[in-house]
Amino acid sequence: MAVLSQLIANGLIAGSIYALMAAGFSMMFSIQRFMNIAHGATYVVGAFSAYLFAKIIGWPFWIAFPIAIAVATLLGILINHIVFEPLQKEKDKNLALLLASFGMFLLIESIILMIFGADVKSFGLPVERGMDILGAIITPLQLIIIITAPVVFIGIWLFLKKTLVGKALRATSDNTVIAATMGINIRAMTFISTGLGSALAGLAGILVALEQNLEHSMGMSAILKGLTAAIVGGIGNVPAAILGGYLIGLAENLGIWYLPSGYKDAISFVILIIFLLFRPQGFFGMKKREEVAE
Amino acid sequence: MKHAATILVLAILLVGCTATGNNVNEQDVITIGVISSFSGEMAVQGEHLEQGVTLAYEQLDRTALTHSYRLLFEDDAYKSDKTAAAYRKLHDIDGASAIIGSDSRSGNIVAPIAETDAILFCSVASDPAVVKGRKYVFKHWTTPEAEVASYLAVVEQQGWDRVIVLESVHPGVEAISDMIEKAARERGILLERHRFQSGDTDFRGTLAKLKNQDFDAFALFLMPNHLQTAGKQILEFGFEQPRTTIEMYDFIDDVSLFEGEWYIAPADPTGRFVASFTERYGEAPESVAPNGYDCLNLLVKAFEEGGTDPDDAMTVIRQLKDYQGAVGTLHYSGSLIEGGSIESPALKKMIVNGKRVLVE
Repeated sequence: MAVLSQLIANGLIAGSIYALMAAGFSMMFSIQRFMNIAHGATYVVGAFSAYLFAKIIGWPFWIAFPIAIAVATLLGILINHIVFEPLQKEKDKNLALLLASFGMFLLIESIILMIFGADVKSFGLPVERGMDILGAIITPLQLIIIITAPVVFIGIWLFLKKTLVGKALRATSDNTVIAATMGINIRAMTFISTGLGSALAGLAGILVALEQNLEHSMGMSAILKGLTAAIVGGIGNVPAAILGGYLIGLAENLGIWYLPSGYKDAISFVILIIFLLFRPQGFFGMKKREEVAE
Repeated sequence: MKHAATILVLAILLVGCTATGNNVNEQDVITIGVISSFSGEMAVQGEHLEQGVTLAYEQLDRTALTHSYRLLFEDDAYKSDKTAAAYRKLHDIDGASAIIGSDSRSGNIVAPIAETDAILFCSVASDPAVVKGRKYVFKHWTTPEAEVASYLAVVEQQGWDRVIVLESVHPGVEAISDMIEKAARERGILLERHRFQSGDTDFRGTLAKLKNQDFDAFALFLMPNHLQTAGKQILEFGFEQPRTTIEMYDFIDDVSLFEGEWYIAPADPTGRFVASFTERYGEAPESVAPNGYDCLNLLVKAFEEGGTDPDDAMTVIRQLKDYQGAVGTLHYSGSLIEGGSIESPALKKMIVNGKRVLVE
């Protein structure tokens, strides 16, 4: 029973991070309509900015972390403005955007490598023995991760449901053309969705850096898991992507109850393949009606 | 059109002449290439190798040498495709006559190509597969056999009979784990192995399953990005079993997380080498630095005494005996079937006050 509790706790910790990444992916996809791989770069920049401000410069966490999230947010907006916006006008834009986002990811990862070096870094927080919660050993930091993610998600849900900007975002996500005819500024919506998505990635990066460690190559695994979670939940639908994150986190961790630990990644990708084959719209997504030819 | 054709022919001739000229000049210079991870997850190791090789290169007594030597470095970022590309560049473009490599992963990629090209390859590797059946490849690292024997001697001394191995999926690690598992079984010690892919930094699932089990120690055969996280998560789970390893504590900068733990390390550098290294870099040599130093000196010795023919140069290496290297007195050991290595002893070390201290 204790093993089950622990595996569920582990699933929730991993799921929280995947859900943050997936929510960001989905939020941007719902407006921009392409897989923004550079999202992984904002995750890495969030983590390394926090490391720079808190560990190297020595600012207190409560100042360093919001600024690090702001840096990740600005980076996401800047990439969108400089690279993706011009490409959106291209005829064959989908492939160009995908390649450009991958290129941006590699470029930023290389810049991080150049600045911070390749060795594994850590915030050097004192290691403390975890608390026993329902048979699972959880450290205070892990508890913060488990609590932070849902709090952020409730905030996003309230923003999307209750505010005018949130409603405009949802309208744009539903149908860009109709939203534009209703007077919604699509460019502003892209700006907001990119900023919010990047902030979520920055936050995820900081949480992982605090809980584990930092290395310049940490973004790729976050992209893969975030994207898997977003697709499994239902890409373009933020709440579905969040649930997809938790689903993948729990499936991976419960899956290794009987399987060797090395199969953890394989579990999530098997789930991804099953979904792509049999339910491409995702667990919570609805099948899109076929577009009527002009 | 006629002019264009004439210009093209002249250009080709000019390039051809320049290329021939270069070859004539380069015949006097022996190029030694170094392939290592100067970026990526094992960049620390690459840096150590570069320091050792560079120091040896700087200290070459050029007045006593019959050949000139050129040293080139290629970064493989710890990625297999880049290792092969780095080798191809050093051999095909730069005309390298010998290669120095820093670990079993790159060793297993470079060794078969170097063997086909008859290029001398000194690999700072532990995996016996790197040298097995190869004429032009030798390794310079404390042999896994010596490290495994020392490790199991300590395990037996402690009276342990069940050890949990957390290991990275990596050829060098797997070679050590396979060897230690077999040797442990013969001694009645149970080794339970758990493997982790390089991107996986979450060990909590495995630790959860181990929580209520009875075992004596952890053996952490993990790469640096895994090692720190695993070491931390073991403590967070409240395990009190020792966290032992072979070599791995040598590859991380900050060992404070492993205070009080023992491990088996490859041979230590000699006092003389430590002194000259410290004078040059302002810090003590670590991990593969002395082996890189030895590799360069051994290759130069091979070319100086055996000439540029790879068979003759390798004969010099195979006859090596009582050579005073950076990790002590070196001997060549091996056969054409099993391959050869430059032997050096395994040591037991401990982490004391954040430093690696020799125990025995």
